[in-house]
Amino acid sequence: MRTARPSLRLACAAVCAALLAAGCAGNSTSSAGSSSDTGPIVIGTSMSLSGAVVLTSIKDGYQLAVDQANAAGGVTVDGVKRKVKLVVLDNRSDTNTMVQQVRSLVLSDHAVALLGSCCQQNIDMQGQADALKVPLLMGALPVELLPKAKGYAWDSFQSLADGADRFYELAATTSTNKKILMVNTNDAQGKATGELWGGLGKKAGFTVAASKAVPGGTTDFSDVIQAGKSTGAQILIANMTPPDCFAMWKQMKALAYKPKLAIGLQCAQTPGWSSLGALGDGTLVQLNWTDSAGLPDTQMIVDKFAKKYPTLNDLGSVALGYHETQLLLDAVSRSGDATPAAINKALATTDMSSALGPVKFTDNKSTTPSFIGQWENGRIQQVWPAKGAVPLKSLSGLN
Amino acid sequence: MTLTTVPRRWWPTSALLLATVVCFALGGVLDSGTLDLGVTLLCYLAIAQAWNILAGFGGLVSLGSAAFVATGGYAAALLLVHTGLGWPLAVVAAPVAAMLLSLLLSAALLRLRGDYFSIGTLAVAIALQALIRNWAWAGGASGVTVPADAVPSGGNLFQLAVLVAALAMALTLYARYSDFGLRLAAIRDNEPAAAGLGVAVRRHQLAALLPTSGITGLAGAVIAFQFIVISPDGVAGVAWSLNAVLMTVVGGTGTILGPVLGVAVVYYGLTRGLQSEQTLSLVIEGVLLIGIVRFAPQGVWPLLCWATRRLLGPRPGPGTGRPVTDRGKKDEPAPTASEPVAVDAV
Amino acid sequence: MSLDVLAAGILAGGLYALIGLGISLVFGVLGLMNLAHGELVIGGAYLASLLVVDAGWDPLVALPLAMAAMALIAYPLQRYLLTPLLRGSKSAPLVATFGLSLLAQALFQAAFGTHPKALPAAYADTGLSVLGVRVQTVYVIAFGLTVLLCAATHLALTRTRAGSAVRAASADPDTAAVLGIDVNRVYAVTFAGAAALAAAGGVLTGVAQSFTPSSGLPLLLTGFAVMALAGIGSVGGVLAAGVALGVLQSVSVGLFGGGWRDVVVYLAFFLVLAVRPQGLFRKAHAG
Repeated sequence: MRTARPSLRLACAAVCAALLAAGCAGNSTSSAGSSSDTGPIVIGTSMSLSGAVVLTSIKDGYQLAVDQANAAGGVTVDGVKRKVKLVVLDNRSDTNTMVQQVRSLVLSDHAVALLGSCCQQNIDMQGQADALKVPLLMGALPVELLPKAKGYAWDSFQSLADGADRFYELAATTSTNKKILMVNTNDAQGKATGELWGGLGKKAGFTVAASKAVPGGTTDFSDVIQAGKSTGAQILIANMTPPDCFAMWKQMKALAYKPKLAIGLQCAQTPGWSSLGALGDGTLVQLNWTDSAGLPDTQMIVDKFAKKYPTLNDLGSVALGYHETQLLLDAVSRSGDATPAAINKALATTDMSSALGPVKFTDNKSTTPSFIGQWENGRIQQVWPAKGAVPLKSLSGLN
Repeated sequence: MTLTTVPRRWWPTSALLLATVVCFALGGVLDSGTLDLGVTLLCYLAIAQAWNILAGFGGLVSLGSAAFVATGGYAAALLLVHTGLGWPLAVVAAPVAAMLLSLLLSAALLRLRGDYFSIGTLAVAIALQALIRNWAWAGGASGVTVPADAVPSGGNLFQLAVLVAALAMALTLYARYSDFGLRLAAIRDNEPAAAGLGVAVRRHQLAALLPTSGITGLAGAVIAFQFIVISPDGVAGVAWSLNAVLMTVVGGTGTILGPVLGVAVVYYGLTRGLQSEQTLSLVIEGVLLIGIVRFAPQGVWPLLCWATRRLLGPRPGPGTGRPVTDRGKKDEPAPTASEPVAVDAV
Repeated sequence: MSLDVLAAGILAGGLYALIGLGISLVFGVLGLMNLAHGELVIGGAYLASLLVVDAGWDPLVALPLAMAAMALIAYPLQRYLLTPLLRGSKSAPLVATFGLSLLAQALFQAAFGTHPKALPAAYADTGLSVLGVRVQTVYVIAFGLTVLLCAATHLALTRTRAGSAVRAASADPDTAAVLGIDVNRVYAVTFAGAAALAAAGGVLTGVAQSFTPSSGLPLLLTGFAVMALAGIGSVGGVLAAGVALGVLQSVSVGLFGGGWRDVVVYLAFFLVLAVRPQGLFRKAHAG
């Protein structure tokens, strides 16, 4: 039984085809901003601005540097001042979206360079930069964790080794039994971090009494805590996502595991840590920036963002984003023609001072300073190195 | 219900052939940005269409597309990384691996009825993702990098994607116009009755599950070629399964062109159109999805057809209010008065 | 594996059961796969945070209010949005709940920011020692509350008129309608009840752990795992499945290390489904 006329079906098909064609046409007109003309230089980034990780502070740093450059008339490339257009896309912490966005930034928006996101996303983005042959400047990934690849990804951030060294220097000034309980996420970064921190700990005279790997999203840490208690470890090094640390800190307190020093890598930086209340007091964090270390542009960043971001760590993220963009714009300016290949080449010869201090790249990496901070009453303060620091307090939250 | 032979039609096949040839030729003309967008859309189309065959025509609502995308993607990537074999073999290995997985799982999956099938497929996808995270040889959580020089890119990748999507479309046409599809739909609508009429239920469902898994795996290989770096968070992510459902339902489940429209609306219109809006994009996407299923519960494509028909004037003949398809049964669940009804065009 | 770890697994199972109960109820009665269930849970936690963090209430005092508020929000959503969709295709309501989940996430982000939050309470970080086994107080409370809520749900379903209506609507909505049961209202009440249960789970999650606008998805998956283990339509089965899940996690962490937890849990979940498609804790034809 047939009731619809073929002509109607054809009409429906035609409507659909027209819609699709309109969609395609809409896209193909979007090519603009080629790097060879004098139009704006497009820099793209796909960041996680919603979802599990939120990097608004780094984005603000990117925008600050771009706005400043544009306010000064643009970036000078081969004697011509050219405006910079920063395209920021939100990938909602989703890897697929990030890949698709980076590809569209480069292939459709003709971005000549990319700025990074954070953590594992930076590693995933490196593959895209190499495949598309576009330079990618990232922070928020400890330099040791940048995989060796084809040379289009540049990482300027603190190193795990420096952070570990600072931490063990600080730990040596306190009286503990030098036994460590190490908890890492079970991914490649967690493993690498655990091995590096463990190795440097041994060198500094500490022993790793127990080491545990936990998958992200763990809420029950009783076996980890059991291990800490049974080995009597007094130093806790936890390298996990914030929700996991929250659950573990509560459980440690409840199950009466009382380390003397505890550092939350990745996790304790979040301003949300203060919602743990007194429980979070005394926890240490690794910082890439402090307002008391005398780094360049400190006052400008504090003046502009201290109200929006009350914690040192968020201000440090603004500084980091600002620093990355400074490096990139410097390379764009020195590239001669603002093509991806030339910018990539120019990055290799970077020699400047940014918001995080002096920068030079070796093997696509440059190490920025590391500091140790401590939570106290909803604030983070620098406790090490001693210059610019306040004295270390006890780990009152867990004791 | 009588199971009669579906009259063969020449023109849907011809239209598909023509579209494939035209799209294939476009691979040599379009700029790189559009080509890349095209690859993404075509991969989504293949995955959504595979889901459509399984759910829309076979009544098996899967939430496990991600498992087969990941299997195909990883099979292709690992073959390229760990052996010296070329990409054509990787393209063959991907659907084979995906079909093997579905064959392995079918014994358990096809025992599950209705909603339990959905949960079971979701569990498979999550377990597979967790497995890959722990599997060092496959790169663990960091994933694997496909040798970029050894795989097609740009126009060639687009053409490969065109072929994969065309295969998915052809399979849909087969499911729609063949006797096999007719029996599959009979199982979907009333399993005991179909079984009573002598239809081998399990065999038909397996015959739907295997090729759709294969197509999804094939799309996974294209995605691996496009992404270059594939990781469990990406290709094994639950987002693939959700997108397959979203795109098909928005476009029109159980129709042939619905998923085509759904892919365009959901990916090109929502995901891509709203990507610079941040929090607002969540709001808009949420409202639009709710709005679409609220006011066009059969999908946008049937709604468009209905609107077009209205514009072109009333249909002659009796039964104007409710079209009946050529299978001698209602193609969609009983519509309520406010809902427009599909004439499944093409 | 020590007894402490096993006990923690059992107790954590209570919270899993509470999260799974609402999702199982909605699925069992309405046949609706609610992809926004995680957001109902998180929504409960955020509502409670208004009273706990800003007004200084105890989370357990805030809990009934959060439950009531979530039920009030959920009722019209089901009545006027989801129920009309249920008459159409099976997947349309699924997409609608996905849309709701996105909307809720946006709402949480806009209203509460994106940083993780926790609900402070004295019992969040205190422990109890029973026969030498040390456990976290909040999980004991959560377990007790779950048992209580499961019992209440069971009684409400089996001993009240409304419960009979729910069961009738669940078994055969058409016949129920003929018998004069307002199926639409029953659906909305069920959904509201499930939302209230979810909110309770959310408050306890907020006390025991933490929450962000996007932490709904893992909770949803936990709920699915519980539901699949339990089978549909059995409240006692949900409790048993939650505990089974908690113990399974503890055992797999003890045996294979933390990394394999999800593989073990979801493979077990799949195998259970395959062997007993009607669920682990449900007889083949129980009502």
